[in-house]
Amino acid sequence: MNECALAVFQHANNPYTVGMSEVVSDEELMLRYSAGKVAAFEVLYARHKAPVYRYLLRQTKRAARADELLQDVWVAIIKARDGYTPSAKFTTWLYTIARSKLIDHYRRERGFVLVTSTSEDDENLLDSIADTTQATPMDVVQGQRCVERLRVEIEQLPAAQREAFLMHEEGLNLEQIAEVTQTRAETVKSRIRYALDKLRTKLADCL
Amino acid sequence: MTAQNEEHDIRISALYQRSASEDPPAHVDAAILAAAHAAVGRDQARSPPETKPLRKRSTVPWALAASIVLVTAVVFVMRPAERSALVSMEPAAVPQTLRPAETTLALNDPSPAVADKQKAAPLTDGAATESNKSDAGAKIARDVEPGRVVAQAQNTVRGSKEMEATDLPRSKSEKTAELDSRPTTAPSQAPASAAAATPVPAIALLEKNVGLADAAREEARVRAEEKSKRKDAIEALPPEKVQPEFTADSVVQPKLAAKQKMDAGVGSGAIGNASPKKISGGYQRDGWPGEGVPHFLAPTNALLLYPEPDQALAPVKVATPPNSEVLFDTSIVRTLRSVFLTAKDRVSDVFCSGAKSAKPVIQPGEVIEYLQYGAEGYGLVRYRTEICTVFLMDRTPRFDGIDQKPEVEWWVRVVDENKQVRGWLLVESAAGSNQQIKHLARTF
Repeated sequence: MNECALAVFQHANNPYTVGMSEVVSDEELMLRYSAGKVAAFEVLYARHKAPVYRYLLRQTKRAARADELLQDVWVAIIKARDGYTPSAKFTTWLYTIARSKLIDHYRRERGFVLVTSTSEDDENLLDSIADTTQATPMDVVQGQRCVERLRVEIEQLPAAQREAFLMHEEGLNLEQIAEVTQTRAETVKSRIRYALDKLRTKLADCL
Repeated sequence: MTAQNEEHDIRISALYQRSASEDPPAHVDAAILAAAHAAVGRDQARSPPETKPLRKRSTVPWALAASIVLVTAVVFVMRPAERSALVSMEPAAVPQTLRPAETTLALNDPSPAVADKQKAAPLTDGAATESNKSDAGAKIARDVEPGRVVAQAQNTVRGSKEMEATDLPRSKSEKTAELDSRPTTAPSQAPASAAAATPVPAIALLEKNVGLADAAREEARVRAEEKSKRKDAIEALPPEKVQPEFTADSVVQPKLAAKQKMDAGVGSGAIGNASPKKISGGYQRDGWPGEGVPHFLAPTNALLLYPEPDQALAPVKVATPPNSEVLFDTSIVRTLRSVFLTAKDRVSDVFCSGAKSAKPVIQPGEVIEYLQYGAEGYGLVRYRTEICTVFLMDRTPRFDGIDQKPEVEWWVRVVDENKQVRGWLLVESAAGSNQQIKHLARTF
């Protein structure tokens, strides 16, 4: 049985992978996992691993670090299973942990950074943690496709804008992002707007 | 937003989705899933089934059902044996039918069949009859051999109507007289002498045993509930300890195995009973910035609280009454990153608490560690290993590096009206004030 077929087989045998019409909620899956049903965790992980990984990857810009942080995030979820109660959306909790791990990572790397401001003027809030060793967009984008240019331009965004943009693109709504980043929804909206403005300008010939 | 911008935004989003093809590597998937499996396996190995809330509720009915099944099975196993005994033995050897109201333990029945049971079981006191080698008796003995529990179970069910079918037509008084004259030596009961003096009705015994078992189960259930409540009340986080059997950590992720700190938590219970850990190489003091007792208001119905004063941990959303004052019992100010200052001139307004030098003088060129800003121009510094207050601000800078500020966090430990700790609230950090709360006027 090849890997793909095995994946399909495992999927078919997981009681929590039901039809689209009766999707089990993330919160319910987490509750079932906390009750000892590992299959529920597998589904939960399959649902969210890629978005969270992309969020971490775009923020850290290094696959190895993103790998480590992803493990940290999910191990934190695993460890917290006993006390889990669905007081908020699972996605919000998940990204809150992911963000905490990211901040922890930045602290280890560069010392303390500012992350909880809610001011409208803090668009450069996380700039201190932006990786300045990256090549400039022009170094990368010459002759390359728009998708790759978008990646580079996302990396060049101020960290707070990048964070809000990435979470938004990965499916979180304004309120959820606000809760995760401990800021106001209006601030999140502004950050996303600023990010899109910059991306529109930089990628004008792709749009 | 113009329609063109909106269209562009959609295209940007589409571009992003095209670029979003990365998945975590397979080995990371494997490690995480292994960790999930290992954690659950560890739980199941560590916890008895009744500690799980879902199982806890169904323990007693299941135990009763299991008992009934066991007893019924014993009845069906024993009946053929007793029937064969009836065929080969005298009527007096037939086990007594014991109605609920008059049921008596018959383990020391002097009749051959019962005597054989006693020998095999071995429950007799040596007064068994000599005719205990019959085939029927041996068969019964084999049936009873598994142990006293079976013998006792047999007795406990003799009051059933099924057993009445094998009863012989003897008078009630005969049976009662015969039975009452026999000593009872069931090992699981009271001492033989006492049992002989006052035969124990089997149904009563059954009820007593079931009652004891129920009581024990009930006690265990209450204990487990109390334990669970205590656990909730203390914290919603997993215990902080080494878990060598956590194979995913120790084998696949050696990095994780080295971790000893709590990672995250969420739950309905209170969190944050832990005392703040000292920052390695940092500084922390009890109290708060500025003068007067601070007061805060929680405008919304929830606060994000941390299990410890550490933003690296995942916060927990804790419900609070809207527009209520945030109560706290502890306040700390932590320095996460200090700033080193070099004195430009001689600085004499230095006040230290240590015994080494209560009022030292900082010489030009000397370096002090700026830890926290105090109030009205004074700052808290570390000077020659002592913590001192120094007048930092002046019309002209007295120290090089004073344009930088230490990075500090102000935390309070939130309690409810019953003074139960709910968690740690970050009041201020270098990023500014926490917007979850409003600062009220201080009291002096």
